Amino acid sequence: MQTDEELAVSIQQGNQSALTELVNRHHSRLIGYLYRLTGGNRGLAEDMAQETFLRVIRAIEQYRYPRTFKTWLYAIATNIARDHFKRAEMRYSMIDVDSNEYINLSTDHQPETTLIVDAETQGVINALMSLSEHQRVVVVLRYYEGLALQDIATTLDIPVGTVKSRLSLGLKKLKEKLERSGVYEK
Amino acid sequence: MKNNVPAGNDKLKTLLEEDLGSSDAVDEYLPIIGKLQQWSTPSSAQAITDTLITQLAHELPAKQSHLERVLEIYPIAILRSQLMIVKREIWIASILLTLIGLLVTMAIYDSTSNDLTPIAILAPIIGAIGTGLIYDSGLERILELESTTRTSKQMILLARLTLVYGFNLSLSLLTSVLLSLIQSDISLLPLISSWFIPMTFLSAFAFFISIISGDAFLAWSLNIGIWTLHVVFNGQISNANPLTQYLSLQGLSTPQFHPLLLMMAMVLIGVAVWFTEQVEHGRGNVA
Repeated sequence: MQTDEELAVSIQQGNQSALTELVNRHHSRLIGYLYRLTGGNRGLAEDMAQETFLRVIRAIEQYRYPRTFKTWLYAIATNIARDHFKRAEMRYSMIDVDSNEYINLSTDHQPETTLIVDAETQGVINALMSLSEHQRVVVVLRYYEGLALQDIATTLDIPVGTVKSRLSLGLKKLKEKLERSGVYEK
Repeated sequence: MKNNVPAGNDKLKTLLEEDLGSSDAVDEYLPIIGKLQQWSTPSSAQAITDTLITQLAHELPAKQSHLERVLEIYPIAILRSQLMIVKREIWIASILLTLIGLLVTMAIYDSTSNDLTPIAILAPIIGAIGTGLIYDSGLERILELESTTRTSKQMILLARLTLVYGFNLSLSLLTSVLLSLIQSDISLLPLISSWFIPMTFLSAFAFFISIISGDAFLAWSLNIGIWTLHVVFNGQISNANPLTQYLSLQGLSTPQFHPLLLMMAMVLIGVAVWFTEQVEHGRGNVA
């Protein structure tokens, strides 16, 4: 079986079956990653995954073997998610605070695309979404996607030590939130 | 509320140990990870993936032949880009001068004479003119290219030097081979050795002067002057006074000096390329 990196090189040469194989390998998993980053917005996660693969293919000539393809893919996906969060934050800052208009900063929840979950799971989602974006990204990459510390560091272009400190702070904050909301008891 | 410990928690334990260091911390946070694991992602329909693949197929780069892929290799791509930018006059001048050298050598070559052949006289001049003009030709384009790509101006200059020197070297080699085939009394290797080192040294010297002074005319006129002195006075060396000996710059075609000249050529190129940045800054400050 060809590795992701070999498939990426084949795509550089215009190989469509390599493209099919690589997208089939990662698409579903990538949607899962973005779904969690966006607080459970499936439609948004699918759109972002589509945008990620489009960017990957448009920039495929910049891919240099033997860089790990998965870290490159997740780096692009993370940047897309971050751009989305920034735009949402800008929109929020333009709203008159006196109007008490509600906007969910990070997720842009659309009722039709957000699945109904039980109260406990909702508590987990809320706790995760209360983390800063930096902490949330490393927690999701580590404990949902199972990426190695070094791979997370490469994906986010930060030192391994920074990954560890973000994980540590993120877990601490998650614990507090889950305890406060009654989802977790000591 | 019940605190779940995740199924298959050995893997998560290992992750936590690596992240948090102590086993106490692992025990403390393992249930938290267990809670996180409760949140599963909905399964994604294959139809969505298939639609995406169809869409991406339109964005695929065109299939490349082996030759096209080779041409995309970084050093070759730089050389190709510079091939179109280097002044056309450089190629034309080199071809014309080499042709003249070939014809004159064929017409007047005398195997009994110890003098340099016309092609051996012209080859270093061709080299010096070509490389002297590299920096002068399209300096703005070098800076423009540097600002729009990741290629440094030093790399661009080296690519141009490789192209121009390589072209002149190939022309002179071809001419020497032709001469040795046409004129049976001309030996190939002695002919090549009569121009190769002087050409290499003067090309490097012209390149160096053109970068330091920023003046192509100064670079190649200085080199033509040096070589002319050598050619004129070297013939009179047997009955020469000290001044003639001095002006003849004997070392340029003395085999014992060739390794030294070759080393000096490399040093001159290295220094010139290294100084490119400084020279450019200096000019920028003056401007």
